[in-house]
Amino acid sequence: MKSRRSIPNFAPAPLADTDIDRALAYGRDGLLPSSGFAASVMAAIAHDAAAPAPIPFPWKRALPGFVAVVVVLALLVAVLISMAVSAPAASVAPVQADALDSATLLPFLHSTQGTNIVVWTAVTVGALIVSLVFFRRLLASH
Amino acid sequence: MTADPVQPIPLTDEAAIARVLAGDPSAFEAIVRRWQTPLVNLAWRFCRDRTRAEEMAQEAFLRAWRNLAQFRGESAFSTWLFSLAANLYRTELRRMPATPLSLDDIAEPPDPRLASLALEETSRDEAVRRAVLALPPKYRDAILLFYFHEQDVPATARTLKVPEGTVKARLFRARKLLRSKFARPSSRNRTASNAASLAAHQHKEAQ
Repeated sequence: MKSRRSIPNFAPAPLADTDIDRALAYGRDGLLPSSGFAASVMAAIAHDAAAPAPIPFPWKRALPGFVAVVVVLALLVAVLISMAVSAPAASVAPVQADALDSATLLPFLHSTQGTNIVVWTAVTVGALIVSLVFFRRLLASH
Repeated sequence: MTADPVQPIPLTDEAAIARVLAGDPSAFEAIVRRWQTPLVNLAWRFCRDRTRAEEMAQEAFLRAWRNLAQFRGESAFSTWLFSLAANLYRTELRRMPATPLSLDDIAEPPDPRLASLALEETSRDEAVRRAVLALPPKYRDAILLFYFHEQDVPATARTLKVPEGTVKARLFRARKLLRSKFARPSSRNRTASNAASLAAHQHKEAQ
């Protein structure tokens, strides 16, 4: 006759704080550095100490370039704003299909203000190209 | 009778720092030797990979060396060093995570029928450590540093640069997440494991 014995419960017990404490305790979950670790760190530090100091950024030489870029960006914003202001005024008048000439499509080109805008746009693009060239030379020299 | 060989007295942190800042890089060795075990240990807790832990600890020492002039002495040097190292380790883990597992993917202890209780404990401990690494970073960092600092909340708060209350809240949440993970009933692993256990037990009974 078989004896009736209870089946043991193999399911893992719920995790208690003591289990977490035991698993992560400083003395239990540790790693000692390898024997050459300190020497390796000191070699890296010696290498770092022997390396020449990083070259400081040439602020004096770069400053005109930065100023030029700021000026160009400011001009660009001013031009874009003036174009945006003049465009709605031009579109107020009704446009007929047979009158689609350049004066209708690009009215700002046919006014004094429009000419000014074109000139300033050209100046802006020119200044942008100059500053780009300046920066390329600056980078090439380093 | 011979005299005991005179052991050189190791430099204190403050003296070593002063000498390094005065231009003597070799004085940094005293700092490395004193703090190498804690820093490697902390890195190990973050990544659980020996090689990577030593690389991360070396990088931490290098960073400390480069930024030594920024140490103002307002806190203990160890606080400054651990804070710097913990920041670095966290950044490293963001760049290359230690484990690609999510909390749901952490395996239960593989075999609950382990004959030896010690082995069972070891297995469970390892599962807990892996589960900690899969926690969201702010909870993971809090719990790792809390146990690294031998359950010292103020030290953990100083290293993390957060209030003590925040550390306590994060620890509470981290423990809750861990418990919920290990309390999940009849997960696939556990069901399979229990079925195997039952089969083995029945086989033994039949014999």
